[in-house]
Amino acid sequence: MVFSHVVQLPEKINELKYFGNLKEKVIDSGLCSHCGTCTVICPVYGIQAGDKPIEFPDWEKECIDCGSCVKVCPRWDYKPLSGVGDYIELIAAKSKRFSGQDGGMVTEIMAAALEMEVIDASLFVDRDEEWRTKIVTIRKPKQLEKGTASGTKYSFADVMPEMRKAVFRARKGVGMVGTPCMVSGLRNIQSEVTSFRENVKLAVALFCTENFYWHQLRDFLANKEIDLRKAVKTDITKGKFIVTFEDGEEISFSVKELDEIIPSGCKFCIDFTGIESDVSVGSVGSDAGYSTVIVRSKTGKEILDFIREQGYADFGEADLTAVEKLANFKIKKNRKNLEGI
Amino acid sequence: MEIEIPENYNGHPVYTLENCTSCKACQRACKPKAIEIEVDAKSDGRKILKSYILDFGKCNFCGECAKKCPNDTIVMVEDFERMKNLVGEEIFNIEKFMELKKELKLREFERAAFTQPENCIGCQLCVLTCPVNAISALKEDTRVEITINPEVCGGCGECIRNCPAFALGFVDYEG
Repeated sequence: MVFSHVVQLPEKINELKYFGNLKEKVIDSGLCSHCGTCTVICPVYGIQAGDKPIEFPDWEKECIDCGSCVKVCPRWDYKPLSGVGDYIELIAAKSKRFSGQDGGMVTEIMAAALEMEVIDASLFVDRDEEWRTKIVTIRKPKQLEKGTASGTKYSFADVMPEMRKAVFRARKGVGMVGTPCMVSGLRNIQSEVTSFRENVKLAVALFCTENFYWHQLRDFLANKEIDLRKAVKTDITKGKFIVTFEDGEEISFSVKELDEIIPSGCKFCIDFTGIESDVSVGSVGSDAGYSTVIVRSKTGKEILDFIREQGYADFGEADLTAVEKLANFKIKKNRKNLEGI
Repeated sequence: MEIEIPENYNGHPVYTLENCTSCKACQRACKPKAIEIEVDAKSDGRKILKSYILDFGKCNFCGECAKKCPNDTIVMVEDFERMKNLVGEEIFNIEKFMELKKELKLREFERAAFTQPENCIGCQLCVLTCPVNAISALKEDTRVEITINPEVCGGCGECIRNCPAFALGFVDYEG
């Protein structure tokens, strides 16, 4: 019978408590990607994400100095990943069942995984009328037929904090959709913490050049007299940020204009495709109306094969070169920022 | 002197803490409102039992609390005279119930232990969760030692349910 156990603690960079270490090395340095993984493990529930940099109010007093946040943070001991990564299959696809961004394949993949019972809960980033992100837990594919859970939001979302609940309550398994940094955070916490390793069965990464704080994106768009409340879709395609309105009208501008509000942490990221995902999905590399799907894991492959067998999607050829081009563009853009760390 | 046993006496309820999930079914079942439970419900659904109070001055010994408990945490001890001497009309908290359990030899052998110690990440959620302070963390420079005192552990399993690392489980312990 074992009643006692010794755990090694991570090495500190200063004399402060561990959150003070995370704060100095990752948050205050601007390296933090806002993936939210630290919020998931804090035993005093003190670390908060939301539409602001990661914070822990009153951490000097409340932090119990356990070191867990540092252990799970993918940027504490940052090993940037980049490129297209290893994959089993790269293909273009369009869901026949769901409309979403491009070919609706993120929604399709999650719906199929629920049907196959690989997972019984899937975390989606939904939004309110003002496009503030909120996380919804989808348990039945039917829930995805209507509503706003499908479609890209381009704002930070509290997927990871919500995952804490999903993992604690998990029965079969949990699926998540997130940015490459969130998927890296997930993999890191999975390597450390058993409940996440055993219960999170599917991670779908979205191709990502950067993400935004919601209030900054809203204010930026408001300055251009773009009212997000009237928008039905936002998209980044071919270097343009496009907002589509209820009446079908579109307003677009160069994504370069958004450079001024790119959060600092995104500038240290060179992972465009989500190297550590089960499946990565994005627009680049496919014709309009199709999603590019990069299948990386056995689970991902089984799901895509199921979609094929059921005839849930149309397939086409994806252009690897186009994906590589964007992946390389992100490396080129941000590599210099990594040199200083 | 003849002892008067209350009408409909089904025994004295003894809260054993064992397998208690802080669901409050006993509190809801108690008509005279003798039971008061304080639970810290976390955002992810974890529950931490902060306090458990049973007022024997208010208890009508109906036994509904034990009946409604899904985990057999409450044992009805049907020995009016002895129990009256032991508890009287006092207000019992977790600490007092733990002593009472010992006195009545109601103590079961189940204890929390590291059944998969290699999984432990040292987050100390178990320390924060334990309603009887049976778990402690001793920190030195680059290591932390988590220790469960089986003599104090009440076998509620709260640490086991809440451990994100699946490092803990029940073991049979006979001292």
